[in-house]
Amino acid sequence: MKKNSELAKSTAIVILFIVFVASCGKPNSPSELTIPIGAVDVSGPITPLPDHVSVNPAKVVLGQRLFNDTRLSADGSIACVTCHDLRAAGVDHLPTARGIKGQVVGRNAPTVFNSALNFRQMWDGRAVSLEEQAGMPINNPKEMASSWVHVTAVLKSDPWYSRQFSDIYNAPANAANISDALATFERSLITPNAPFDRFLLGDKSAISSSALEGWRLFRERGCIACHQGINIGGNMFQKFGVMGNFFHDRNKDDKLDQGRYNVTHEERDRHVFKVPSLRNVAKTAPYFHDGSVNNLHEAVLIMGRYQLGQDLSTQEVENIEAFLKSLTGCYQGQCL
Amino acid sequence: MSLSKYSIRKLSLWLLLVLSVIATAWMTYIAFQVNARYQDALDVIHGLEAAKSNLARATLDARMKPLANYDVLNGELRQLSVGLDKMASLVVQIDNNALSTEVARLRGDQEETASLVDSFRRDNSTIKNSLQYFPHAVHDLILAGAHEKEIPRGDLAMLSHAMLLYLGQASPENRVQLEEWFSNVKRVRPNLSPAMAHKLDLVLAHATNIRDALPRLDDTTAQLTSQKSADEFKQLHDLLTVTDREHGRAVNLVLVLFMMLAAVMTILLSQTWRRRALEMKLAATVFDASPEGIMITDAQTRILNVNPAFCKMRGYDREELIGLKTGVLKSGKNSLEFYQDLWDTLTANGQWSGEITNRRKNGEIIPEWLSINSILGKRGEVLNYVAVFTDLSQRYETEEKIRFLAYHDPLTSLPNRELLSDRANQALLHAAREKHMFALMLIDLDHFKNINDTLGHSAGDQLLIGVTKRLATAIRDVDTLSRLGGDEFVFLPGEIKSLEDAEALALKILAILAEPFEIDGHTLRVTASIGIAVYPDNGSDYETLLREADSAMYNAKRIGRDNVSFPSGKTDERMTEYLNLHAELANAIKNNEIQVHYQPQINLQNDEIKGVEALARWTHPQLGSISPARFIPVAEATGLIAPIGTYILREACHQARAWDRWGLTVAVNVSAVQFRRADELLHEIHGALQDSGLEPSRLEIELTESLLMENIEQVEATLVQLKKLGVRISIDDFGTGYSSLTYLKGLEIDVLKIDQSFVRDLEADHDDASIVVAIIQLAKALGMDTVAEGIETHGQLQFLMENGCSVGQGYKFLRPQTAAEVTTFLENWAGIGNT
Repeated sequence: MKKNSELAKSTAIVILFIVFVASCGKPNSPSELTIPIGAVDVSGPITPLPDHVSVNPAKVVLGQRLFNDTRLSADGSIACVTCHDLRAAGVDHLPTARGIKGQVVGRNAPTVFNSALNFRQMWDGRAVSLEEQAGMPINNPKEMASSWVHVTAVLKSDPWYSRQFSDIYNAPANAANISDALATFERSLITPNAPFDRFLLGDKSAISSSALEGWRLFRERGCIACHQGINIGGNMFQKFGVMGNFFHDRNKDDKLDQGRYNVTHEERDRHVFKVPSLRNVAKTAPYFHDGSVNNLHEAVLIMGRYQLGQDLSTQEVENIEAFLKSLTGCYQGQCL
Repeated sequence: MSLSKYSIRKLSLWLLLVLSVIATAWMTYIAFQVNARYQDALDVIHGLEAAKSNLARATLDARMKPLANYDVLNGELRQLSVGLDKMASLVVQIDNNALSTEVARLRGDQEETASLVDSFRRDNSTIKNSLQYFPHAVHDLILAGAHEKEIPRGDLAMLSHAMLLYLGQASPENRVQLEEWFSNVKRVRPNLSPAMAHKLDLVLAHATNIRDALPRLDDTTAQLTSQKSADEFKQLHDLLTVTDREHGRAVNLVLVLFMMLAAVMTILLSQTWRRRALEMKLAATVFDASPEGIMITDAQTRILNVNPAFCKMRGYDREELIGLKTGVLKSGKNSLEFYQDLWDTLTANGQWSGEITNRRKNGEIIPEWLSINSILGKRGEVLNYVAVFTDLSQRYETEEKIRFLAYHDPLTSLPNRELLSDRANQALLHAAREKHMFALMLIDLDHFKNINDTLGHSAGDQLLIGVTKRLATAIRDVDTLSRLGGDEFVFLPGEIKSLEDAEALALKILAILAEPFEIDGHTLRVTASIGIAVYPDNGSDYETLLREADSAMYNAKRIGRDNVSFPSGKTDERMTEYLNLHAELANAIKNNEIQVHYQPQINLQNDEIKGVEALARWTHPQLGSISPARFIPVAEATGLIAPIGTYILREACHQARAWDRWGLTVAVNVSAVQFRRADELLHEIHGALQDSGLEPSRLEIELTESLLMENIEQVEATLVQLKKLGVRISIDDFGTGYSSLTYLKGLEIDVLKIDQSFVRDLEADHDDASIVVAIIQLAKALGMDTVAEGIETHGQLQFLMENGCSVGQGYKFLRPQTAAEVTTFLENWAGIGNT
């Protein structure tokens, strides 16, 4: 009996030892954008935005501060928010963005709203993720003209940031965690509750009859072939000028107009861009990658001609415009 | 604490064992982790295969449905990408080359798939539009150009026809035909109005798009949905399964090794524990069973535990002591300095041992041997004290016994020679200081040797014990009685004021010893001779006093045993006594205090009273009866012996006449002093015979044997003259004076008196009996009569009668009595048989 209990004692010690060793490391799950699907018909060409997204609130606070912090630029003159003004539908309303010291950036600044739903970032899709994108303007000499060295030094000297980074990431500020914080903040920039989303969810009076007619045309004319999915675009590449050479016709075909070709250098990618999202499109003029078109009407016409090979009537365009205007959503209860 | 070589080796063995168990446990853990990674990898493969299959379905969905939603397709594509990323990181951890290569290949494939999907999305979105609008565009051109001659309606119809064929099968032949009609239609464009040209351009754009995109779309669709694509991960799966199986064997091996080591360690641990438990049990048994008292305290000397021996030793219950401070057990017999020293030593050396006096619960003081050890902690601080107590009382008792034996006579338990010497010296110091008198008495039993020889040593020992007991009744606490050995005793009276005190004490001792002893059924009579030496008269040190007492004792023996004697000569006190006695003696003669007593002598052969012996007795009015042994020497020394002797002689002769009727002889003792004055003696004897008219033959003159040896020629002459007077000559105390038989033969001696010491012991002592017989035989041979003195028992009488002894005398018949009493005895004499 006594002998048995001693054996049990020693066996227990050995087992405890094994358990201790085995419990020495468990991965923790990262915070990811999760979109609850619920009752929405995901099989339809367009799906509505969710009411809210789950993201780490502490990171959102930190990311927003960084997003608004001009010290991230070389001379402290601009911040992310300078070109992606959240009060202006996340854009600057300029044909192409302006960097520090008034430098002209080659492309139109796309809205930061719902950018998390794009399958790639940048017009030519060269950034695979928001995290990757975040560092690009900071390090671009024509934009914020800064560097990770500069930015991390600035943030480390700031007690508030130091504490935040220490609390959230258990590390001082670095390229990875700054990018993470910015991307996390951007994931929170979702604009649900657009009239059309309400329409999709069953509120048939949410949009006007003109918009309804526009929605019919949008489908029948084929716009929806590219502008589909939850972000109504932003989930594929397409050639600008499938049905005609837009750049030849306008007598302007710059390097930046070559689109994805600049990334892959494949002929098939010439003039190929990421299909932009049409959410809040009525609020984000001017249009196209170079901001060359000021109004929606003209943009719809160009799209009909060069992408669909159709000449849309004024009435048709106006109805489509009405539909596009129903795509304007709200951010934190405030409609754009 | 120093580690032995053995324990260091043992320790390192243990360390090695523990380390190897930890190492194998770690290996096992890693193995399990890797195993888990294989499982993860297989899960990922399943995920990848599902994603790939879902991708194919989403592709077909997007291709077939009128309105596509690429979010689903993109989602599956992302699943593939994420899965491969996971796989890549898992493969890095698994560290297998074949796997890594395969994953790298799959990554390439995935990029190709992504590219295919990209192409599919682009073409799928435009081709639907073109397919829908190509007929519209043709129709629109024909309708709008209804009035324009140049519109090639027929060619447009053929183009539409070719398009239908191409849509049916995008074969090279159909494509060539499509191209032909395409060029034909395009050829008319310069001839058209700009509006019509624009419409034609739209027709051509759609046609071109269909022509170019359709086969591409069909191709990408086919690739994305092919079986090859579905089987893409089979090889990875197979690779994983194979390596997993190999790894599984390694895992099992490590697991078995770990189990074995764990088992070995378990067994060793359990053995160690069991041994530890045994050791603990053993220690507990030793603690409980130890005859030594053991006490364990904490560093504050609070008692934590005591063993049964301690409780027994001290008379406490264990429960009473637990928690108490050790101070409660102190006896108070040890000084503060003692405890100070104890603690100093204990603190400095970690241990202390020594003798200590403690207390039992009942207050009894016990001597103990205490040994305390400190138990130290790792940092050298005291944790406990362990005290071991040995009861010394028993040892002390033994030591006491040994000491007693060293200083006492084992037989009688009286102080021996050593202790006597010590006591005597102390008493001498005391006497010198206090200017007191101090006496040393040497007591020697008379003829003790005879008892040993006749009754055996056991009887002798019993007699010595009896004597000791008797003497013990006479001594006081302040006195010391010691046995020097054999039959010699020394008596140190604690306090005496005068020689008379000493003598009275000595006489008292003689009186005590006079009563017979009953030993082994024998009745024994003992007399002693006592020599007394006195400080400061006879000496000032013990040895001298002992020597003087010894010589005095021999003196006492010499003067007749059963006697007390002082050293002769130089003792002033003694002289004083002599002088005193002389004066008293002179008065005594004047006052008729000296009387003559008679003891009858019986003829053992004819049963008649043969005669009497005349004996002097002094009854002092104050001192009472004074022994002849005491006053005769004084009388001899002072010349008073002459009148005393004359008085007795005359008295005896007259008395003999009074007993004429019985015809008794009368024996008169003549001292050496008288004998030396031979003329005077002869004159006196003659005068006494004349005056009394006693027949000379009825007068016996008794001489001591030793007297005969003093001056042989003188003695012979005197004896001859005495014989001429007609008196009989008797030799007293015969057998003790070493007289030569040859010499005896030549003397005119009539009677040999056998000394009472021989008679007394003849029943017990064969030698004495032999001597008695020899004396009787000798006397017969020489024609002498024999008189046996001191007959007390019937046995003695019987023996003497049987052996032909002529005459007997002693208490058996009558003790010395006055003439009147002897007369009564004579008148009542009815023979020996009636005594």
